[in-house]
Amino acid sequence: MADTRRIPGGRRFGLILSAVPALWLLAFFVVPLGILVAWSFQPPGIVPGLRRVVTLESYRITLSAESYWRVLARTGVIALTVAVVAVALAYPIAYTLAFAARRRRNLVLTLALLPFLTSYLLRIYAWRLLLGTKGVFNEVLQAIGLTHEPLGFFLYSRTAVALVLIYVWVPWAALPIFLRLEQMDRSLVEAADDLGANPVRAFLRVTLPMSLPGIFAAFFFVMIPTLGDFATASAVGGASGQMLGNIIQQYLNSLSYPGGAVLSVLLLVTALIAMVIGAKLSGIRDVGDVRV
Amino acid sequence: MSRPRHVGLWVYFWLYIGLLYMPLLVLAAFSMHDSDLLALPWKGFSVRWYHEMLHAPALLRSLRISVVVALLSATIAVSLGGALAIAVSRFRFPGRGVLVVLALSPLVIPYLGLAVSLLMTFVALGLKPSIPTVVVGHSVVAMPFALLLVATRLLGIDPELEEAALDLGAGWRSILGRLYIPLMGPAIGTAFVTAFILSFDELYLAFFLSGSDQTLPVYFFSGLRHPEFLPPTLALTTLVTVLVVGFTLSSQVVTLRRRAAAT
Repeated sequence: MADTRRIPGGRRFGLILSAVPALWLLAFFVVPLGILVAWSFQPPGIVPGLRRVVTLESYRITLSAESYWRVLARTGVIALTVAVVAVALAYPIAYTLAFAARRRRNLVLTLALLPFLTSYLLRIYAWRLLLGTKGVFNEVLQAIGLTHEPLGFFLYSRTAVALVLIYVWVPWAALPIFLRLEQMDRSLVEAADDLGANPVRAFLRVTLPMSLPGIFAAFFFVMIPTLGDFATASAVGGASGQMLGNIIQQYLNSLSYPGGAVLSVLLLVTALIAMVIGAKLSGIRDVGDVRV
Repeated sequence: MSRPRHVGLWVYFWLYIGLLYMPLLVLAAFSMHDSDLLALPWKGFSVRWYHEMLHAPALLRSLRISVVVALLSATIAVSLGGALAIAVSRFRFPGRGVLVVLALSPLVIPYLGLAVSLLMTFVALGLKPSIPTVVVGHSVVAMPFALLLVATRLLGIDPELEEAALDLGAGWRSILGRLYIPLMGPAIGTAFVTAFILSFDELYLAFFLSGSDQTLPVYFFSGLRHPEFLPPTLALTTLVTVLVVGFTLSSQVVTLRRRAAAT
């Protein structure tokens, strides 16, 4: 960082510049999280507004429902699976983009990143159309005589939810890994080559460890939104594929704010734990550590 | 590309691209399906849903709301995120570290959690969800992207430029106006586009904070339960996607041509 402390009044100027953003974040990020917690301490049921009561009743009732724990466990398993598989599938893509693509690099990059510009819901909905009982897959299977009746298991299962989420998130997972590989000092791989390491060994000992921060970033960028997803489960999950987000949505739709707040606190705490571990592992401490 | 060990990678890459685009192409085809049902058997091509879309006032209203929300929230996110980027990348001041962590945390919060928190805050304050509440929500989640994009650019500025300005007697006002803001230009543009796209496609905050002012994704999502709304929505979303993708590709081609012409 340049020695801009020499700028007359720089310290005060920094404070002035950051005052409005800081207040905005305080009012619309920090305070709302506090108010969420306040709602979770309200008595359970349909509550029209915050009252001056503090009770653990909503926690007791919501958390004693065994079915919610099952949904929470399922959500965690789906989020972990989706994040691991998406990162594994995305790594070779990022590697190809960073190291193999030379000619037509821009075209290849654009093709791989274009899905960011397409609608998230469109990408989910496409699979409903493909996998449904009257969907493209079933009709094609029947047309070529492989099956005689539509197969129902494609849709409305937790497997369907996980598959669609993986499809949605692979492009997202590829981005941080690609950015990391892109910044890597390539002479290190050449040095490994010169020292007689075979390509696999060079990859395992040099490239892979150096891309770890990108892998962690990708993992958490996929896992955290997946924890709070309800659109995918609504579209392709059915009853057995419900996630925590669906339950929260049902609570809010029926105006049972305290119960919804308890489950949202649970969601945020899970994400917070993941985030703290992620920040530790990837060594992110300042804006300069995150490259975009 | 020439090295043989990359063949496997390329096969994988093109398979991935094929799988990535296949569902979207199927969907685009179905938006031109001459049938009331989004299902096979195929009954032929028609533009009836595109025609119907132009006469679906609720759908067009949601598109207008989405554009307004995206423009407003991107403007707020870029102004606040940009100011914060200058502050944290160029100055030391009390609370800087806490502020950086705070400003980056919307990146790693499930939007559903923030959406519920904001909704409950507005309910507690007696405010009804509408366009301004969605704008607030989207501005908070887009701000870290603006901060990162602008800060990365600022951290790349040659410190000698600042020193030269200081030696020439510039104060922070002229350093801001004549050095930072001109150099931030491209990053601000990228940040605005990123924030716009983020807001335009965002479902969870919009779902809880838009009330009766449904944005396009909320309208689309509620269409999952009312199948009769879906075909025109699908047509509109496909059209928007084709326009955005077409615009991006053509701007890519223009940049490449310009670069080729320059060398």
